Amino acid sequence: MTDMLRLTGVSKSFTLHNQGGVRLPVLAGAHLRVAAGECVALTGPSGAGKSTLMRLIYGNYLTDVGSIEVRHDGGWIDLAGADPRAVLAVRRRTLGYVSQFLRVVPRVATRDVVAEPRIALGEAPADARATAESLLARLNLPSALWDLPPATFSGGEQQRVNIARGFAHPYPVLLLDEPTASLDGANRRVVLDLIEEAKDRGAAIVGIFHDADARGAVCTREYEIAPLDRAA
Amino acid sequence: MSEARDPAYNFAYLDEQTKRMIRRALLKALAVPGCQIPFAGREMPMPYGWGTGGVQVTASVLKQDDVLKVIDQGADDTTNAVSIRKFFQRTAGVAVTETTAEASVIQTRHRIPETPLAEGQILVYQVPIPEPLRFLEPRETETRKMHALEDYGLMHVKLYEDIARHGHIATTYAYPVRVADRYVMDPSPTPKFDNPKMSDCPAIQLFGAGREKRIYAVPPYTKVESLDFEDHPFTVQAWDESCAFCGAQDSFLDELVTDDQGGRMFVCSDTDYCNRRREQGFRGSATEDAA
Amino acid sequence: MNAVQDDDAPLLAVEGLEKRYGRRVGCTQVDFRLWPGEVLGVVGESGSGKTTVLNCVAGRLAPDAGRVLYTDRTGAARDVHGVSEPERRMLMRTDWAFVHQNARDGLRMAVSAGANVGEPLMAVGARHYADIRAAAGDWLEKTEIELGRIDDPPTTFSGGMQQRLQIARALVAGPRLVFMDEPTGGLDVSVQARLLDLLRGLVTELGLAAVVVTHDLAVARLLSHRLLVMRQGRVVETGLTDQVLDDPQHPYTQLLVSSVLQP
Repeated sequence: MTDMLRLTGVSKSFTLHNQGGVRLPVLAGAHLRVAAGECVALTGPSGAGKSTLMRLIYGNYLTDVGSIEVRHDGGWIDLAGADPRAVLAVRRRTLGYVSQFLRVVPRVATRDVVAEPRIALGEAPADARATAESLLARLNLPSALWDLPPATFSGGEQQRVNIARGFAHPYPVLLLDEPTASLDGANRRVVLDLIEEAKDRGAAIVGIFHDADARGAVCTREYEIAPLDRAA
Repeated sequence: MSEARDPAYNFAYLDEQTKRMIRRALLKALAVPGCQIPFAGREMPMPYGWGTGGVQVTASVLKQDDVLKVIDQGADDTTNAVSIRKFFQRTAGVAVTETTAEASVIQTRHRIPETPLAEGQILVYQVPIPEPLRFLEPRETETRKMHALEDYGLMHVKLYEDIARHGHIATTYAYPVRVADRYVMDPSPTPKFDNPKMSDCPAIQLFGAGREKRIYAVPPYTKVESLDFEDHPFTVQAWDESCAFCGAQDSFLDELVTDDQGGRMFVCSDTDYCNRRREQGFRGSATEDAA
Repeated sequence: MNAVQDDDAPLLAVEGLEKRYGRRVGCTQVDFRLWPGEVLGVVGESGSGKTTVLNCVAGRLAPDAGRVLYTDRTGAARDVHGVSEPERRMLMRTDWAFVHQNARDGLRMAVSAGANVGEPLMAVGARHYADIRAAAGDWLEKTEIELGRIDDPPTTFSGGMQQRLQIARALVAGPRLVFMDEPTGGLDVSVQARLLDLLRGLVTELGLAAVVVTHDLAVARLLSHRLLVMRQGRVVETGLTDQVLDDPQHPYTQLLVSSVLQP
């Protein structure tokens, strides 16, 4: 099985310059390999740094030390220290991220929010929207909502839009932060199916699952993050 | 017939150095057709708005053996034409005429003679506002740059607005033209009817604006085209009537109100042209006998 | 069409840009590059130098040091302040657009909306009235201005409409690079939201490159791919927009981000 994601010696701390320069170490020496078809669950107590690790992989946080390599366009690219344009290119084609909360852009219809990653890759808008619609239908989001911007939706509805957007394009590497939170049994089942399908097509997945059952259902492996002592 | 000139004045009123300065400006203007050239206009014995620019240009090009014609709105006998003609008779002692074909220098306000001009003739226009872009862009610094950089989009904005507002280009006089495919120029408040005469004209055309102190020129046989849109091409005015005196159907007609019951008649604005035609025997509806 | 091409030559390369006002530093040591399809946000508070940078880069203000290199449609690199003024004005007319904070600075208030949008086309040689009017109408629709207002002068428009008209006028001739100076400043919040959405959509749809100056971090997050954070004339931090706003490294950036009120 081919590795798709390689973290080596990744460390991250936050320095709050405006609070007397206090330094908060969060991760030290994280080491992780994820191969195609795997789904690795990040585990550990709340505040240990699971979301932080995910954001580091996505390039949303800057890595202090270490490398975060992603298999992209047939080669490897180290996102830690990569040019912003390179990170954007990786995010567009290779690395998908379903965050915990949907960041809502005002006035854009749900259907277009979901179709956007495919349109950005050059697909005809009509085709992209058709794919978006089938995903939204699968996630049991009523078609009456497809024309509306998601800002006024419930938490569960927003989460499903978020997931549809994350799965609209078949990313080779996927990061899922609490994908089943706020969902009822039926929709949770749909999301787990989506994850299984992604694994089957060879995607490498890193996920954070609060729900032990969901974790057990789709994850092949766990990666424990132990909280560091936060120095004052 | 030339009269003796008044010896109290230098020939044609202006001193020789001033004439040289104006001639330099005229040469520059001819070298760059349609481009406004600043000149150090002098105080003239008539106020601004009464043709001081045209008079200074005429004064600078006039020679003792020239024959001068002066017209105002096409007529030789209106007050301004008479005054300016007398001015040059007194200060230059040159021969004067009303016959276009006999004149070597013609000073005009707001019309181009109907009689086609010939090589060797000079037509001097009186210009109030030389800057065609002035009404849309009041800053001189900006309009100078626009001319220098051939940045003429604004000129078509004016025409666009006309069509949007009136359904057609509503400008009927001082209709902007492009000279030698380069400079956009205000032809002075001549009716757009006269614009075609400016193009490929055998005569030298000189323009003087006294108050604004600008000179520009169109050398002989230069392309002068009126601005328009492809789907709203430039057209000239046409009349249903013909001249009541000479019957001309191809000249610019003035409308004269003859009584207070709505009576009117149309006559050639170019008095010389009308007279020549009548000499040749042409008659209009109003006249009954030969001249 | 809107994918950022890798390994292309940058559209704009700014090197060592410096502008001083007497002894006061307007901006100094500013370096960045911009590729087609990218939006670069320049954020900072008043006096940070962000507007100075924008004006220098947009060719409106001559810098005291440094270069601004623009790659034109033929692929040639042009030194924006090294070329002659006619060439620079030609670039500004054909390849670039500038959206002012105050719409009145970017419009002809005495002339109809249609003429305002049509003028850039006429400035580059359009001579067919019906085509010009149709193109102006298209752009009024794109910027959500009622088509029936095409013959009205901008003096009769609301502030938000004037700004949208300015944007239509800026984009009608198909520029490759757009400079925006606080495009939503001074407008009501709801109007801002609508305008931002419009800008975002147009930039994506047209594959425009843009440099957007704003003091509003929310605007920066919504519109830009990358950010330049400026303070007292210097760039203190630069990077991906979401990274700079979510994981700010420089003390000043951290201060800026933490100061934003969350309603």
